[in-house]
Amino acid sequence: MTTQTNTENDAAASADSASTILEVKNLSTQFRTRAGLVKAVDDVSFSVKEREVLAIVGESGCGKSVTALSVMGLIPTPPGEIVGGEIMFGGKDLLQASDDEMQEIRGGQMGMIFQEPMTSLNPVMTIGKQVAEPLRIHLGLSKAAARVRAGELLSLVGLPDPLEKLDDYPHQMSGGQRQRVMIAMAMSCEPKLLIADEATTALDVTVQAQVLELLIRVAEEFGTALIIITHNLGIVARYAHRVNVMYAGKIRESGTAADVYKNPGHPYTAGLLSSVPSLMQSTSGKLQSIEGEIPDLTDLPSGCAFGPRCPYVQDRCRLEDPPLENVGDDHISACWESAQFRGTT
Amino acid sequence: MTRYLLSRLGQSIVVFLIVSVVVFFAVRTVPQDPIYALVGEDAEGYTPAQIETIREEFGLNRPLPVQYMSWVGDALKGDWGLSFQNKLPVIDLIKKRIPFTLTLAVGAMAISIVFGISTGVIAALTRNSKWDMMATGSAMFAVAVPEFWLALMMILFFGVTLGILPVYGAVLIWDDPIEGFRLLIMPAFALGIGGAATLMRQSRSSMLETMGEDYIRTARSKGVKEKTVIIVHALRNSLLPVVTILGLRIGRVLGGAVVIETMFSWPGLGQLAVSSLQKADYPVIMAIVMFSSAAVIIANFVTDIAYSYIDPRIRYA
Amino acid sequence: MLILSIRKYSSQLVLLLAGVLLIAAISCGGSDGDDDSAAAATSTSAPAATAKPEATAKPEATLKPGTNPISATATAAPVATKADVAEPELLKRGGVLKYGADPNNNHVFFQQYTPGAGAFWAMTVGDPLMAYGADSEWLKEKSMAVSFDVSSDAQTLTFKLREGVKMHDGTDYNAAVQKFSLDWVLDPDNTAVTRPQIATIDKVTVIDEFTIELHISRVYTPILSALGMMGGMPFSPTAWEEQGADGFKQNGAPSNGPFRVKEWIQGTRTTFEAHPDYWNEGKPYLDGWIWEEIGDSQVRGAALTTGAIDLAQIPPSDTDTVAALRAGDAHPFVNFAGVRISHHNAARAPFDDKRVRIAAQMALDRQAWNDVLLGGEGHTYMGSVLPPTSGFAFEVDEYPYEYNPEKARELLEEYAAEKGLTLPLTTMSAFTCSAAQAEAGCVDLVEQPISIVTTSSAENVKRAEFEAAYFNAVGFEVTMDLGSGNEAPRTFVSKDASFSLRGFGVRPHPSGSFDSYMGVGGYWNNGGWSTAPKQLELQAILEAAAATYDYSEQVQLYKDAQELYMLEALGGVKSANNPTFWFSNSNVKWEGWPNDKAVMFPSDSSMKVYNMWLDN
Repeated sequence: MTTQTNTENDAAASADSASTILEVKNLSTQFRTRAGLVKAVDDVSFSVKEREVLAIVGESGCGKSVTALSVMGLIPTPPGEIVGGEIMFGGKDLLQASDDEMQEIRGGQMGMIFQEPMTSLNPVMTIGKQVAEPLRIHLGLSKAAARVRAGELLSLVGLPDPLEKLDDYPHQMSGGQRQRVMIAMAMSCEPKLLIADEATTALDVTVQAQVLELLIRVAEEFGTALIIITHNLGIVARYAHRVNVMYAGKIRESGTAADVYKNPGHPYTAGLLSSVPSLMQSTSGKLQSIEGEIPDLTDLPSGCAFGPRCPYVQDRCRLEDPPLENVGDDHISACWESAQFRGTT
Repeated sequence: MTRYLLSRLGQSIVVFLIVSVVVFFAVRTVPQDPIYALVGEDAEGYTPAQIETIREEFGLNRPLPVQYMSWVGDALKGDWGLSFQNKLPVIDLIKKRIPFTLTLAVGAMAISIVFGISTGVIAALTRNSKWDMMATGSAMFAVAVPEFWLALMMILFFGVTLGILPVYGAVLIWDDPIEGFRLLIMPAFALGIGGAATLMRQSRSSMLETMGEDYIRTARSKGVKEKTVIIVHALRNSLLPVVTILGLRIGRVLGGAVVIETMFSWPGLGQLAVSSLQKADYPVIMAIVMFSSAAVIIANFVTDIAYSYIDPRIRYA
Repeated sequence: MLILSIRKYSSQLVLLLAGVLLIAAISCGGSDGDDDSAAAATSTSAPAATAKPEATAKPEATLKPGTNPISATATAAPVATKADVAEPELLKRGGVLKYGADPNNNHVFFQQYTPGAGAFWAMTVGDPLMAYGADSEWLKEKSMAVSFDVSSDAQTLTFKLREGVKMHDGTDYNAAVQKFSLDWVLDPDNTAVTRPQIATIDKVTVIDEFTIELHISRVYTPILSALGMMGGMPFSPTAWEEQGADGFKQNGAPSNGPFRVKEWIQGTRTTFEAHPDYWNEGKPYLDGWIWEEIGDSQVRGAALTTGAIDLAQIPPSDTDTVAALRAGDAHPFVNFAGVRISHHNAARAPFDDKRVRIAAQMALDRQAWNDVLLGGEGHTYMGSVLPPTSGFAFEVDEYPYEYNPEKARELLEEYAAEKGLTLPLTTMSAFTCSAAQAEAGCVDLVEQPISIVTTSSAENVKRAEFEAAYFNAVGFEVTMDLGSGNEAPRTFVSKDASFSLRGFGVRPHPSGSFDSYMGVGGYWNNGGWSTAPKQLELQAILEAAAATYDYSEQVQLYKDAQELYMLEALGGVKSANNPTFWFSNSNVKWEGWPNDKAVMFPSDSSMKVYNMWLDN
């Protein structure tokens, strides 16, 4: 009863748009830890259409990275395990795919950029080799051809002296440069989908914008759909077509970026919006943080997981977990009190 | 780099000096008089005056500091003196032994590396499986077991019971590759297995750590095959601490060679060290110790250089 | 690379490693792996004697070193050639025998060979001027002298030399060659370790090509047997000119024996090849033999078992290997060579008193000593000393000083009461050297503790501690002076040692042994160890014995000396005879096999490899 899919809503919303390339249905991913079973992703469903930019937002530990890794098939097993659902990509359920099939998809049709530019590149391998690696694996380029293409890619992501950079090691570069390298690497085979997991979080604020701009530009150029995972709604608002807000392993709100931004359907989303410094907002306004801490995933509160932190919490919230329901056109939210809450904002 | 080399050289000279002083005086505390080692325990037929003459001939009648300075002076000129036992030039004795000890050391290191790193990597990749348990358990056993005991057991089992390997002796590999190799197996194994265990544990933990690194995930996200992830991305990164251990092993191997060479009648420096110590043949002992120190110092230096090849982040200024 | 197929073969690889270790663990045969071969080597390295004390074969009365009356002439029969003597039926020729022993061939020049290392191989490369067998018989097949005369003053010895003998380097053996070698050995500057054996020779004269005359400084009959040792072996003067001592040390000195040094690799092996022009036609049977240096006695045992070597020396302390080989099909040689003595110093109180000396004798339980320290493989001491040839053996029906701690304590109490002392006895009296002793390095001493001096080798320390417990139990209080054992020769000269634990070998001629054990002027730098009246009396008997060529008189005098020595409890506390073990493969044969005596040298307990053949 608490599990209600939002596929109809999506389907309705995207009827006139391009076709769906990724469809995640009822995905559940768990981790076995000493503390107990962690339901990091719990019955999550969403889809990404061609050329679409989807943002998944939420605080750390809300399950957004695990969702991305589940899609990529990179959940470390053990301790992690995908216990249910489907991940349809290119007409195939990735959860049923073999290791070899997954290796073909990863880096070829689906790329990923990670949060830590300092550690995400192999420190003992030249940039050129690392960028060339997917080219050689997926496109079958020769060593020389891959190197030429790697140079072009580095140039494309705006690195100065790209040919010299080919022989550099990651430690010789700044964080921003490394993230550009990551973009070049992930985009090298012109994938259909790119997941950027907190790709700019660790960078200087000024650099963040540049890298995001680059990401969007390259994605547009290659016709790549983009999933941007971030906890910063402000940055996303400018680029994302759609936003999924996650909390405690579940999607709590989903809608077009404009809708969610202007008229959040969930108190948690509202909290996020007011707690994040944004390039678009005046920094003079006082930032507000969401009271309390994210719940222990091994021991979730009954009812709505956000309940304990929610300023609008009601008795019902403590008993029953609200399902996702339409709160607007192509806009769903999981909150018993959304009407009341939206009325007050 | 030049500056680095010079500073290393300076350090090495200091180490050499300290080693030479310590050993020079330490060997003289060995309760064996080189004169009596030469003329026999009972000095049968020798008069005290003759004994004193030999003592003078060996220069042992002079005060210790004088003896030391004289030794250093000669050694700097490349003169390592004559063996007390047979008055043959020490340098010649050592030269004949070095190829044997190097062969054994290389063999032992090869055993350490091949067994150690492969089982370490396997154990890491199959973490907590029965294979991991067995590899870890075997390593603990190999670390705990004394080398001479292992040597003896191997001799009894492979040499006597099975009769498939020769029980003693040495032939240089380039003189007779097949027999040389057969003779090398047991001593190299006995000498190298302790190192294999150490390397196994180090490479296991190092590999485990590396496999959890972000760039491994990055490599996987690029669709790199798991085998390639392990060999190309993980192994080299996990090698650095392993190489450190490897560098430190050189000293252990040279030390262990003393026992193993004696057990297997392997005519290397270790065996010469034992017989020279028994006879209190100071010039030979000094030369062996200095050579071994040089080997260890060079090994450490090579290790440092190897770091910068393995890890481009390390550069010596 | 191994790692390429990690996933696939991981299980097998780990299994292999674990398996190897497991197998090694299982195959552990109960050995504790204790490696005390180094200590054992020290203890067994003393030149060893041959005949067991109970051997009773009466020697022939001819051609013995000491049998000849003054102005005697002795002639050896011409040596039998191959044609004259029927060869043993199963004799086989060819092959290379491998002998496994401790690494101690520090060089291969026998005249400068370190004593104690035991130049086992020397007797196979050289045939000395004289040669004697186990029963003092003239070993004709080794001797270069075919006859000799003794002058009326018994100080000039004239030897007729064998003709047609070729040296290893192809030169001819003759009187000039023999003289050159003897002179070289006698020159103190050459520090030949063999010099003391023949030092009484003061002049060597060539009479003609095959006649040589030796003059000795005093009447000293043991010189004949001494010439049967390494000091009497010739080496090529031509080769000396070319190579000198350094060359000889590495290449071996060309001599005249059945084998010559082919290659010496220090720490590995010494290879000997048959001398192609050996004078004794038909010998040797082997193409060569190899001294394999194997440091660990357990490994030597293993090598013998696998057939990697044919003959192995095993120290008695390695009881595991001895027992294992005894249980197998190896042929054992047991030689009770050295006697173990804790010397005490009869020149100084309290050991200047016979009661104290006897108490010390009675304090020690020899059977326990043998059982504990030698695994029961030794031979508890019965006679006075161990004579090298049975003809000189002095046997008693009942040893007067059997283990009797009560009696020992009684004697000490009696002594203490007389001297106004209380037990335990803790100190030795002061000592003033005589002029002659001072000359020899003796220093005057003050009163000092009674101590046991020995080397730091594990075996000697064990012995010292074992014996100290027995001495202390009857009323001595000895301090342990471990590690300065190598200084003992000098401390004995200086008379400051109390108990000094030493192993003793025995000389080929009894007088040599008796000098060493009993005489004032024997061992240890001619300083002797005692000027006690009884010791001087003993010395007079020994000197008389060494000065006579009358064999029966000589035998009687030596027996008298032994009796006095034993009854007066001089010298020290004997414990047990130390066995030395060899084991041979069943394919090692010799004429008279399995009689060990037929192939064992009396002078240094080495094997007559030139009489052996390989039966496989």
